Amino acid sequence: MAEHLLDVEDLRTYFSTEEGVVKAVDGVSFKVQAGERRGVVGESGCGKSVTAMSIMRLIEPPAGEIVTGTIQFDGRDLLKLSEAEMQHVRGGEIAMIFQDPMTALNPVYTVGDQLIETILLHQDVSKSEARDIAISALNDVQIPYAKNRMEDYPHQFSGGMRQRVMIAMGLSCEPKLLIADEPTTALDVTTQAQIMSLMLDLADERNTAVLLITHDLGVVAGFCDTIQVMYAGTIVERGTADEIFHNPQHPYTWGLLGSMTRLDETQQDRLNSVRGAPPSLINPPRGCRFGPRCDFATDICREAVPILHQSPEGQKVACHRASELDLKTLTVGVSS
Amino acid sequence: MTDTVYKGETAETGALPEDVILRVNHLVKEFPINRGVFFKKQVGAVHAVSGVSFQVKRGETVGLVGESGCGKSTTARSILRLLEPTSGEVWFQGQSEDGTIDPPVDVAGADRETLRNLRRELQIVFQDPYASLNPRMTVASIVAEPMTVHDIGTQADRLERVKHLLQVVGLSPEHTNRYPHEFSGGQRQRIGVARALALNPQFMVLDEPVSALDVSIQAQVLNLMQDLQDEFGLTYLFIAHDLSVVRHISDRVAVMYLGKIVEMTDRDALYDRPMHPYTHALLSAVPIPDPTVESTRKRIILEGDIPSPSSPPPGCRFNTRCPKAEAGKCDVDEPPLQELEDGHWVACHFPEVVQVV
Repeated sequence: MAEHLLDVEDLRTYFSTEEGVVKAVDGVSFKVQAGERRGVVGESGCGKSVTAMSIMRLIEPPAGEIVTGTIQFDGRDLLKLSEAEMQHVRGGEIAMIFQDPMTALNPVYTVGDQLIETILLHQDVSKSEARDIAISALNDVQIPYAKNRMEDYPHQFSGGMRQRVMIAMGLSCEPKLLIADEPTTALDVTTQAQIMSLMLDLADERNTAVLLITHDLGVVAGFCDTIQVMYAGTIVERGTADEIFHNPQHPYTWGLLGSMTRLDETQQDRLNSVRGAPPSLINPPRGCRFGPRCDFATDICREAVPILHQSPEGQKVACHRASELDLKTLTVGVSS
Repeated sequence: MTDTVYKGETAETGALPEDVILRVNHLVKEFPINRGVFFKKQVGAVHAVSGVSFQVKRGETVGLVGESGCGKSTTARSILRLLEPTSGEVWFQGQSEDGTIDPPVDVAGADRETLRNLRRELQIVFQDPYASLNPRMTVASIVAEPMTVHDIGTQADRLERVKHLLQVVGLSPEHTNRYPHEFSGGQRQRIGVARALALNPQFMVLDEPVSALDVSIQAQVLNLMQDLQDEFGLTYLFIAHDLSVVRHISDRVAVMYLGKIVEMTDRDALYDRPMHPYTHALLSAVPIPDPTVESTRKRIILEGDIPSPSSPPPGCRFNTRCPKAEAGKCDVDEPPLQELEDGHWVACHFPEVVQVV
C-alpha cells in the first residue's frame, strides 16, 4: 500500500505554440492523503488546471505533452498506464468536476442516460441496477423529483442543478479522489454555498480526497485542510490553511491576500495590490519567476531559482528571502 | 406601487436637494415576450426592473448588488438610456464648471438633442474588457471616439488628450497605436476607463468592472477607480455581484432581488446590521478569506432557485425562498421600501437586525 493516495513528482507539462514552448506546469511536486481536502489556488495561467488535466491524462498531444514526472496514484504510476487502463481510472477512481456544467454535459442526451452510461462503464451492474444507482445519486445531491428528472435534458436544469448533476455523476462510482476545477465559479454566491457544502459533505461521507482548484481564496479558506499556491507553473508555497492565511511566507501569497477585499471589515483606502502582471511562460524570467513583481527581490532572486523548502514556520516555501522577511509586520508598502 | 418619499421634502420633481446628482423614481423596464413569426403577438413580459427608486449624492459611490438576473445591469442601462425604460423618471442634476448647480433634467424623458448632451456627463465602463473594445481600432481611436462623436477639438488636440488620459489610467502614452489584443485584461479595462473619462463626465456607471479580472489585477483597478474619483470628483454607480468588493468601494449599498431593491443603506450598516432576510442569506454565503473566521460561521442556505422574472411571485418577491415568510401575508401583500432607521431602507414585513458577517 502506498503511503499517499496521490504523489506527483516533478511534473512538467509543456504546450507547443507558434510563438514557442509554453511551460504551463514546470516542476510541480506534491502529495495528497486519502480523505484530505487540498486547495490549489492561483491566478489564470498559473498552471493549476493543467496540473489537474495532467493527473487525469487529458493533455492531448501533439499540442500538449507531459515531458517528465511521475504521478503515483494508489500505488501505480498513472503516466505508465495504457489508455484502456486510464479509461477505468477516469470517472472510476478519480472523478473530475469542471467549471462549466453546461459544456461538461452532452446537450442531446437526457441526464439519466448520461449518468447510466458512466455507471455502466465503471461498475459491473445491469442497466436497471444502473438506473437505480443513478436515481439515488440524484437524490443524494438533493435534486427534487429525481426519478422524473432523469428524463430531462441538461438545458432544463438551472446552473446550480447542472452542477449537482455533475457531482452526482462524479461521485456515483465512489472515487478515491475528486478533482473539482473551479466548480462554483460560474454560479451565484448563494448557489455556491449550496454546492460547496453539498459536495464536501458527500466527499466526507465517502472519505473521498478532494483537490479543489480555484482562484477564490475565500472558498479554500472555508473548505480546505491544506493549500498550495501556484504561480507561473510552479508551487510557491504549501501549508495548512492556517499557515497560508495567517502567516504567509511567500511575497506572492502575501500580496494575493493583500489584494483581497473582505466582507467582514472595512479596509483602509487602498488595497495592497501586486504590481505588474504574470510573466510569459514561453520565456519565464530568470531566477525567481515572481522576481520582477516582487518588492523584496535582490540579486540572488534574479540569478537562482528558489526551491520549495521547509520554513521554520511550518509550511514549505519557495523564496530565497523567506527567512529574513517578516511579512506579518508589513501591511502597506506594496504599490500598484 | 410603493412610494419612496424622502424626509423633509415632497415627491415633487424639480425640487432636488443640491447635493443629489441622480434620483431614480419608479424605474420600470419590461422586455416583451413575443410569439409567432409573421403575426407577432405579445404573450407576456420579463419584468427585469419593477419600480426601482433611489438617489445618489454628488461624489459618492453607490453599490448595486444582487445575483444574476436580479436586474442590476438593466437598471444601470435604463438609467443611461442604453435601454429604453418602460416607465419611470431619472433626474440628473449636474454641476457647471463654475460650481453652480444646473436645473435637473429627466434622462428618461429627454429628447434626442438633450440626451446627446447628457451623454457627456453620464458614462459607463463595461464588465468584459474583451468584448467592449473594438478589436480593429487602435487605442488612440478607441479613447478618442467619444470626442470625435461629440466633435470636440481638432485631431491634434484629441491625440494630446488621449495621451494624457492613458497616463492618468496608468498606461504608457506610447501605446496609442496598439490594438486591444496586445494588452492584458487589466490593461484593457484601463483603456475602457480612459474612454469613459474622455468627455470629463460627472457620473459613471461601473458595470462589474473587475469581475473578469484576477484578484491581484482587480486590486490594481479598484485602486485606480478610487484615485480617479478623488482626482476628478466623480460619482459612481458600482454594479457588482461580489459583496466584498462592494463593501470596499461603496459609501452606500442597495441590494436587489428579482427587479426590486430590498434593502439600501450606508455601507457599514448594511454589512454590520442587515435587516432583510435576503441580505442575511446573501452575506452569509460569501466566503471570507480567513479559515478561523470561516470555521465559526453559519451559512443560511436558501432553498431552490430564483423565480423566473417573467412570472414573479405575488406579494413579496422573496417569499418563495424566505425562511421567515408567513402564508397569507408575505405571499399576498407586497412590502413597501420603508426607512426603518435613519437612512436604512428595507422592504420586508418582518425586518430584524441579524449579524451574519
